Amino acid sequence: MNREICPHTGFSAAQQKQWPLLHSHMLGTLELGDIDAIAPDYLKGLSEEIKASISTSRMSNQETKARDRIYQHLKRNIERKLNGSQLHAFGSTQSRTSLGVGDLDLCLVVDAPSPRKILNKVRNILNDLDMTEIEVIGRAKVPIIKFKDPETGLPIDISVNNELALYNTELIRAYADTHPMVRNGVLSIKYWASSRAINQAFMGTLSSYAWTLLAIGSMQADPQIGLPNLQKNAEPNVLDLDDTYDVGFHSKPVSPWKPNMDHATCFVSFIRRFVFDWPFEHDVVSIRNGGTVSRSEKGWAEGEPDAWTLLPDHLDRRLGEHSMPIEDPFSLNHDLSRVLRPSGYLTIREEVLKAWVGMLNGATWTELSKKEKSAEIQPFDLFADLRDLSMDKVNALHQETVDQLNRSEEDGKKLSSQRRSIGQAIQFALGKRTTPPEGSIEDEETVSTEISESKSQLDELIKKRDELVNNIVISSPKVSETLRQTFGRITEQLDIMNIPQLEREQELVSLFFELQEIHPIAKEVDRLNREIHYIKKPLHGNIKHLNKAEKKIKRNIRSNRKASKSLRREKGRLESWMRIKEGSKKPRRNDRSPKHQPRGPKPSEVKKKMNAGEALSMDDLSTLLQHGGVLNMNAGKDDPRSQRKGKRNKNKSSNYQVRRGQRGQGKKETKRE
Amino acid sequence: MLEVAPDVLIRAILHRRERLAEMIPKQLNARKDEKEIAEGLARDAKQRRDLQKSELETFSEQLKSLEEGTPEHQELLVQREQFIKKAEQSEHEYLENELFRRRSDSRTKRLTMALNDCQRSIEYWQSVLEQGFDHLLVDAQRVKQGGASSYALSRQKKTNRGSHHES
Repeated sequence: MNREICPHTGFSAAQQKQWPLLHSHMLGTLELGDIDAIAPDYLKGLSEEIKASISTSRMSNQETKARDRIYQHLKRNIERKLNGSQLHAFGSTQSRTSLGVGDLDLCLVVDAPSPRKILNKVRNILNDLDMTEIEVIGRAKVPIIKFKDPETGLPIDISVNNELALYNTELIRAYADTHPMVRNGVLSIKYWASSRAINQAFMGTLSSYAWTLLAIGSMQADPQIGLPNLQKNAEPNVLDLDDTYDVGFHSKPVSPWKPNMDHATCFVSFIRRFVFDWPFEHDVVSIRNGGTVSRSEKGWAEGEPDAWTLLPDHLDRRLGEHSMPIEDPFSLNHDLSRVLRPSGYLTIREEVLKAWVGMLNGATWTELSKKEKSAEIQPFDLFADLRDLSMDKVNALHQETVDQLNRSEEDGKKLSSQRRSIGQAIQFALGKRTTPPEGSIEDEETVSTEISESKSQLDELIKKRDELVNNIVISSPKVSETLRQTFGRITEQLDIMNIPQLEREQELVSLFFELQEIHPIAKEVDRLNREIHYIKKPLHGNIKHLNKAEKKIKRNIRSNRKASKSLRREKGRLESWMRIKEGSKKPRRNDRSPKHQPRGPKPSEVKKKMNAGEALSMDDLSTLLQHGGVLNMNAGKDDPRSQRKGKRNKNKSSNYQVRRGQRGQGKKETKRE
Repeated sequence: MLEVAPDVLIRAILHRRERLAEMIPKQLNARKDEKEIAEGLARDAKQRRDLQKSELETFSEQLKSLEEGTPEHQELLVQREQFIKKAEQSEHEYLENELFRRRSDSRTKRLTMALNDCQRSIEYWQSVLEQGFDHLLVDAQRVKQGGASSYALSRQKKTNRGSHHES
């Protein structure tokens, strides 16, 4: 086994196969020609290829709309149910550096001491919204809830009070907006990293966000590109969260910046720099400092062990701190390379070499980056399953759904009434209700009868005990103790200088004999208490049993509601399809347009009230105004035709009525006038 | 203790009182002697203190009449210090003797009262034994018949008082 390990690099045979270029590079046997070895025509072709690949991989309008729809839906529901909360979108989609894959990142900003509790509330809301695969990760540094949208299967993350991420997004967006080529540069590197599977933080490589920072940092560090530092000399904007952060930056470069670059410039410069001038040797990548800052200045020395010392057998161990340090632009203590594992580090180095060697050998962009299948949002067709069905079948389906819905609603009513009865039985057993439950409790009839019997027995005992307790007040142990003390005071040897008065002696004697009489009563109270305890024990058992039954029923009610909801939705979907197929413009059954809404009391009723001299309500007054005021009402023009005429005349003469809506949104006739 | 009958308990009280009535007179005589001595000592100490006080006042008057800084004034100042010391000592002695006198007086008075109380108590308990003790068992009888105990009555009183205050 030892013979297979390279004495110079420490790679095992398998590792030599896994990272061949890196191994050769370490041995000094890899020939790496510089940029001059790459033909300008090749770079031109590469630029065109990158351009094409980025434009095809960008998120389509449909995907963007679908994401936005989901975000708005969640925002509406969560903000309505969590008072004072705000749901924001962040991440590459917002900074416009997204490749159309990946999850939707949302941040919930809410003033709450415990993010975990908030996440639990959010979970309930998401449950109600029928989201799937909901998982709460409450113990993380930034608490998060992960779930999927059931219709599109889009993975969504909601983090709580992760406000810094919102500013990071804004900064990346500002960089991406400086010049189209900056965005393209970032996208080309992200595309390549994604294709080569080195943008998976959970697998021990770097996160997509880290690659974005590396791309920006590389463009800042390359003197030929010279991307300006947007944080330099920016007005401080201090954000007070768990710590204070300066999140100030310029929204655009202070002086005009016109770079001479094409789609390949950033990628080539990036790879070249990582091959010939590995930036992490002495520096930390820091876009806040215009590309890099020295390790010594930052105080981020490379921690032990590094990947090389862990070779060949200990690559599963943790990598030392700051092995490939990337500073977060705002959270200055956050090194984005802390997720790196030794094999991830070596793979990144191998991939960089592979890309450079590929370019030297004239590899196409497709060869340099083999694209993986993206998690595209499937276009959703609500009626896909119905399109091939005949109307008869759809009608049958509709009827079946209606029947199922009726059954489900009946079951729901039954379950609700059962739950009510169980709740009443529990309240009765706990003494919070004086009468036994009204309805019968299915499956729990025996328990309910037992509760009723033992409850009446218990009530009697408690009443008896309370009467005795009210009479004697003092408890049994206290009686015994006081009796002993009193006897002692009456009979003890006295200090000649401290002799009690006769009245005190009389009191003590009287108390002693009273306590003698109290004693058996106190003992009776004790006995009653024991008896109450013996009755209460099974009663509590029964209450527990009922509580369990109630929980079960609640679960059933929940699933019944869910089933009813999906049946109602299905019924609505079928009815919509039937309407579409019939091409009818029949109004919906539950149409709530203002035309169909009742408009308060009838004019004749108001007139009656007026004649009778009764007080008019606001609704009555509204009807009065709508029908031409007091004079018209008195004139007896109650029939619709005369009303219409009156209205027409009124419109012709003047229209001084108060109108709802924004300015300029008056009635069409008024506008025409 | 639940078996102790009233007459047994009353006899025990009576016995204790009779023993005390025998002991108290001896103690009382001893305290009376002590009190006489203490009164004498306090009287003497008071006289001494008053004398020192008046001498110190006279001396202070003399000192005021002299001009400050003169040799005579200086000499009198030294003497005055000695007078003050003596006056303080006599005051202290007086206070000690007066305290002793008061304590003796108090003990004597207390014993006299205890003796009187013992005699009254003996007479009372003897009469109770002869004539009956029903009046001492009023509370016990009420409890026995299902009435409220004295604890319950006192609580009721407190509650009523509280509600009166509130109203």
